[in-house]
Amino acid sequence: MTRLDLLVIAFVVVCAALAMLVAFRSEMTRARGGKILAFFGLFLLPALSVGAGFSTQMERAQSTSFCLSCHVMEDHGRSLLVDDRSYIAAIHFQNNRVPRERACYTCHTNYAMFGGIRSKMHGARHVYVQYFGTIPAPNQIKLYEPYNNRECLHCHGGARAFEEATAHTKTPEMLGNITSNRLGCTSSRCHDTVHDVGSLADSKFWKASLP
Amino acid sequence: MTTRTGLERRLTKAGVLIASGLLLQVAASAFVHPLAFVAFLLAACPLVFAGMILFLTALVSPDGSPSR
Repeated sequence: MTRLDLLVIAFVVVCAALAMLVAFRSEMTRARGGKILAFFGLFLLPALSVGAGFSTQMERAQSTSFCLSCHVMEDHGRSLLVDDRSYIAAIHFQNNRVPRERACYTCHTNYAMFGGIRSKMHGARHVYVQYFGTIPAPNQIKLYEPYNNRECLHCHGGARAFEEATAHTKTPEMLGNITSNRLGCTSSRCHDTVHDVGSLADSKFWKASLP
Repeated sequence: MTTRTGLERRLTKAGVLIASGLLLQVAASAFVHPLAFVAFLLAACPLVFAGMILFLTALVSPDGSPSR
């Protein structure tokens, strides 16, 4: 928990105490000062508290620990520690190519308009399935739609290592096909080992802990 | 002991709703888990908003005018 989180919690506790004070000493609102206090305690400060809480919760929902807090995602978390350079999620995580504290969110957010909202909607569906649906086995978990190169190009696009890579310039039109998503990064047999949780039993792991 | 007016009773209800919503928000922020997020969004926020709306409606209700 960060210092800002603690500050928000302290603020919310003070607001709750003020609301309780107005609730159980409502006679004080007969005086002018009491009316002002009631406006702050029952309207202005609660609105600010909920706003601050919403911001904190949204920030937390982007953390790796949040995504891996469900049992079904444990294997996907372990796949980030596989000691094998062909595991694309693992090499990104282990080499800080994505922020480790926000690893899942960085790659699985749709970098388009309303992408963050779509991610939250998908998250709500995950929660529904977790508690009211049939939970799939970890190796049966699939994306809702094929992985879009746009998410890779959010970081790799324009990078020299990407644009001048021999594998990306085999033919004159290849780079264009990649950037326009006609040739999928993860579905064209080039970077197709992503989490591969089905083969974790035979894998070696990097000795580090997940955030 | 003074008799409480209708406005004061509504303010009490509003205060209790808001305080319980905010305390639930504090409890939800102790956990980093999707259920905590859902509890915040589907329970804490509605409680606080219901309290705020009750407060605002109490102000404009007929017996909400200040006594002279």
